[in-house]
Amino acid sequence: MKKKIFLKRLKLYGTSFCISYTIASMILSALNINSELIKENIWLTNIQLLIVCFTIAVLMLITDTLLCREENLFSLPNFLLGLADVAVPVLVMGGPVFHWFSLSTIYILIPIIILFVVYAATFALFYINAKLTEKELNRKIHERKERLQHDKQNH
Amino acid sequence: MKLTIDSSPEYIEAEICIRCCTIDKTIQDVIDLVQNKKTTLSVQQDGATRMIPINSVYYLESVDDKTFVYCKDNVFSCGLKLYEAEEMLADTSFVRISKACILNIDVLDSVKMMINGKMEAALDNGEKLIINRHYVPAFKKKFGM
Repeated sequence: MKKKIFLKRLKLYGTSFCISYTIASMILSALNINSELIKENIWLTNIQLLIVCFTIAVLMLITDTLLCREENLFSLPNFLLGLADVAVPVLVMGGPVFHWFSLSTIYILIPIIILFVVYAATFALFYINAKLTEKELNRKIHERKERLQHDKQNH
Repeated sequence: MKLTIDSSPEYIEAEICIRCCTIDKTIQDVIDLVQNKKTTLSVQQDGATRMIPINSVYYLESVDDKTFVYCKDNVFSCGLKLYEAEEMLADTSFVRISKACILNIDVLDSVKMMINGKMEAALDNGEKLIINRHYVPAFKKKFGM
């Protein structure tokens, strides 16, 4: 069972890595139009992006596996941990390692705010989806009960 | 419901033909009986063994390697292991909701999503059971979702 759960997580974060890298590459290509620096080193930037996205996915997998945080899907610690899983690689690798931006307050604050907004939106979507599932299930339970009641009366 | 029995030496093999407008629960029970499907469960209480209809069972739970059968107002023990009961009840209204529990979805009153991804199932006798998040997909599949 534990192996099955780990493989499920691996599949989830493998897919997340592919999607995040695809989206990031598309954004980079869209932004590429006006940036001379990126134009010259586009292949290098792409590889750096690949490394950052991969690191994020691996970090998420490790924190999920070690801390079993899926048990508290909508909790604040889980939310903050998820934020850290993305913010730390982006700020540490993007700043001093790959020199995408300087580590001044504004360059740290803006990505954190953006990430916070993205995460809040994602969590809200998860929560709404869960509530919709609950509503649908309760509707089906109610229908089933009425059908059983009807069958009993006919009997 | 009309019952017609046509007995004749001409018929080499017995055949049961059911004519109905729709297959309701009664007809399904007859079909299950003819097809020899399990409609009762053997349980023990106070040293005595008895057969109870499976539709009176609310849930089965495994505690300390023993399986207990919970009905509306009674609790019985059962000689089957939980996985054996699960196999036996495969095509019925029972579904596994955790490592140690199989629930009869016909006794459900409502469900509620919990913040940790699990679900809380409220039964019509007021009891509440937790559906482990790993069993939620199978639970939803029972309702065709």
